[in-house]
Amino acid sequence: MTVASANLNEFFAEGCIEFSKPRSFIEAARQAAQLLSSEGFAVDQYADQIEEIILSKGPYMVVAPQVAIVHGRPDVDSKTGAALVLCENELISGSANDPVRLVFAISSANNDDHIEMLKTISGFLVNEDSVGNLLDCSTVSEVRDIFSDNLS
Amino acid sequence: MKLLAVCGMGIGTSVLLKMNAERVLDQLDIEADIDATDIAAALSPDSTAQIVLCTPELKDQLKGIRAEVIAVENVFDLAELTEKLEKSLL
Repeated sequence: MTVASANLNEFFAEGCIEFSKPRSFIEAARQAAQLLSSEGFAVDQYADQIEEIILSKGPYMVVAPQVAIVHGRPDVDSKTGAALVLCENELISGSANDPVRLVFAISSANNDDHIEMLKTISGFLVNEDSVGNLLDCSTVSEVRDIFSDNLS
Repeated sequence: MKLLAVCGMGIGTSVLLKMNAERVLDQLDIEADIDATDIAAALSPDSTAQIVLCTPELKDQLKGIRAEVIAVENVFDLAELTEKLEKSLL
């Protein structure tokens, strides 16, 4: 039903997809943010920013069952990028969409550069099989294959 | 018809809400203008929006707003968006 406009893989740099067993939702969000910082897509304090946003505004970024998409402020020193932490355990964020298993983090230099990326991620997640397909993965290359299958 | 999609920063969740609400409104053949914004801007007395879309966790933070607030649990569920938008608009 949904046609993606770009290959989802392009937005996830090498090293930006990881399997993890975080102790909490916040820790998972921090890990996803840290992947972007480590690969040079986001500022060093990105994880702190995201933690502060979750603590002050609540888990509104848990946008679908089992799925969170976290981000901090756009920054001229950041680039458009995405990271994904696939959690082996179920995390409680306080959202109606709990438990959370997939935590995406996104970064952008400004309010516009990441729109194409969001469109592509949205096109992927509107397909109701996508979450289950990702949760069936046990390697990064399997995740990459699922992202590629989303090609139009 | 003016709508706002709202989230904490106005660039993530709200943009996803805007994209998918636009798809649904297009299918319903309803002409509307949707802006993605943050909570503070949505609460501005200058806002002319009739409907504000958000995720449920932000609903309490929009208390007192003049617009009708629609909380969307699954931002990617076009059926949920369709049902909720239809209920308020048709």
